[in-house]
Amino acid sequence: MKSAGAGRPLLAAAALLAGLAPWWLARDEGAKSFPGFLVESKIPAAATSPFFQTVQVNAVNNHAKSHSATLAELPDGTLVAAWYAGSGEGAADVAIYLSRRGVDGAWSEPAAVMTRERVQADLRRNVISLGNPLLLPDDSGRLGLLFVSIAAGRWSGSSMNLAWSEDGGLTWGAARKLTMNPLANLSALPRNPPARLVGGGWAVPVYEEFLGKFPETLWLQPRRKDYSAAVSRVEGGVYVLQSALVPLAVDRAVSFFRDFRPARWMSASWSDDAGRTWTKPAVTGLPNRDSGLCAIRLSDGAILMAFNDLSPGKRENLRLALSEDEGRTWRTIATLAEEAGSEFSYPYLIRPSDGTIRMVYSARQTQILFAEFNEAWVYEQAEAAR
Amino acid sequence: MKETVIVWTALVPFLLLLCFGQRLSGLTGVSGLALAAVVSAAAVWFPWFGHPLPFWSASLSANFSVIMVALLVVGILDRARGTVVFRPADWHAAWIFGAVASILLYPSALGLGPRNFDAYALGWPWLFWGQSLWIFGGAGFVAALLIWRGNRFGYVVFLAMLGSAAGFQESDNFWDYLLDPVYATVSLLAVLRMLWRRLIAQFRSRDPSGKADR
Repeated sequence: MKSAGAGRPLLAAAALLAGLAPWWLARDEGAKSFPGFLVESKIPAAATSPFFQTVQVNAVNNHAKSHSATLAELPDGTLVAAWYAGSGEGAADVAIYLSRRGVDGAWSEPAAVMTRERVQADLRRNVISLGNPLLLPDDSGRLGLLFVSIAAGRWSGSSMNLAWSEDGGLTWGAARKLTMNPLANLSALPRNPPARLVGGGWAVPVYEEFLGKFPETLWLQPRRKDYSAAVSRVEGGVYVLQSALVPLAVDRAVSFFRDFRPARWMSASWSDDAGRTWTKPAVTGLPNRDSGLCAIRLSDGAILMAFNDLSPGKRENLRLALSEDEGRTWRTIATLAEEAGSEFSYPYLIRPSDGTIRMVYSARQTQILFAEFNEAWVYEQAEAAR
Repeated sequence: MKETVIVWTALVPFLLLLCFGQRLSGLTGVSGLALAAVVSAAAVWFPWFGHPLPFWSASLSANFSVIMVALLVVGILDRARGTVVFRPADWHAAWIFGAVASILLYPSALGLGPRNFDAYALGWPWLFWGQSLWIFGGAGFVAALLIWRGNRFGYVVFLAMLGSAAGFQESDNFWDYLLDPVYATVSLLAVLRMLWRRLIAQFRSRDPSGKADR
């Protein structure tokens, strides 16, 4: 080896320091990288008399396909629903549609808030279709919208974008791309409701379906004027995806998975370190024939699950099940929808500040239906099912 | 969208065209480089299927690594100046670094490694802060060692780390400054070629009759 010149040791030392600089600069954020889940234990159980009602959100619907709905409550109590609609899955005319329900209780006419052309202009790259929106209501009143844009092929060619609205979803700022994968940022999709984090931000259940099909958590945490995005693995491999994340305590949560193994049973994982690591998925007593599911925690700590039960067709019913042991065992308590030859899918549940349970789901992948009920109705159904 | 991302997604197709243009045309020297640069710049901004090339390159990836861009620049300068910026040992280090990093990163990032381990997650310095030291410190150690030993590829790794600290890419993940699928593929192929050549050389050295040549 030639003798090192005077500058070379200094440069070598500088290189070592440059490697450590981003890591060292992140030490404050690193200390709170898994801050814990915000478990709103004080949410009331809503009105005492049981009630249940359902209504179609997209009553005016000119699309052959309307699917993958999401729902959020704004600080003023306005409900916002969004979904993707167009002539077909992956079609160029697919857009993200949004409807709002004000104090009068009526859903507004759906408006296209993200179109392929608009997203293409925002991102300055090719977009062939859009899909899977997810609403993120901010404490400050802002509303976030996560959605995927497909650059090539089908869902495996999708990547995630984030846009913000300052007026409750009426107008939207430019979308920005989130990098979540090192292989051309391919194949990341959101599906189920996010969990709020202590100190602000969300843990968003997301999944990949390219070579592997597996669930992940997208961590969005406040940083300067926007949110930092990072992704951690829940489970690898090719057998579960689309997790439904239910916080149980600040550092404890359970995730339920859509399962496409031959046995087709819903499986669940638990985390005791605020979502940093997860147990290996264990099979539960509920069937899952490769279909979307959603779950929330009730005021007494029980977990309510909306899922597709066994049926001759793949998704001919949509039922509710209740677990009182953190998701290990389940009891089917009610049927929300059932029709031979039909399809009811992709339930999305929230339980906002007034304690009423609200849900959107797809019927025949054309109608977006909204259901609203309270815990009294849930337990009335549970009693009747005994 | 960051302005730096717009520049970066234009720079990569420009350098690729310039590099291939130089090789295909046989142009050398500063005048050849200038001519190739003008033609490449025109091709970059020409609307292909309605959009300039940066639009299509960003569709493929907006996160081409600093190392790949630096290697393209080195290749272009080598050819234009007729001098050697990177010696064989420097190129070997570049390919070995790319191949090893690819093997460490891609299988686990694609969900094909240990069940819930993802090396890519360690590239966000704030997420798994403690474990991320292995990636950040490891890259710093490799760069420092290479520079200390006089290998010029060390400066390229150093540059990638500075780029990561500046945060000019669309991605905030450290891995995206070090590695991309193009650099990974070329590195793996180059290492396989190096191993094959070494194997052939060993075989020949054990076969003094020279029959292995036939």
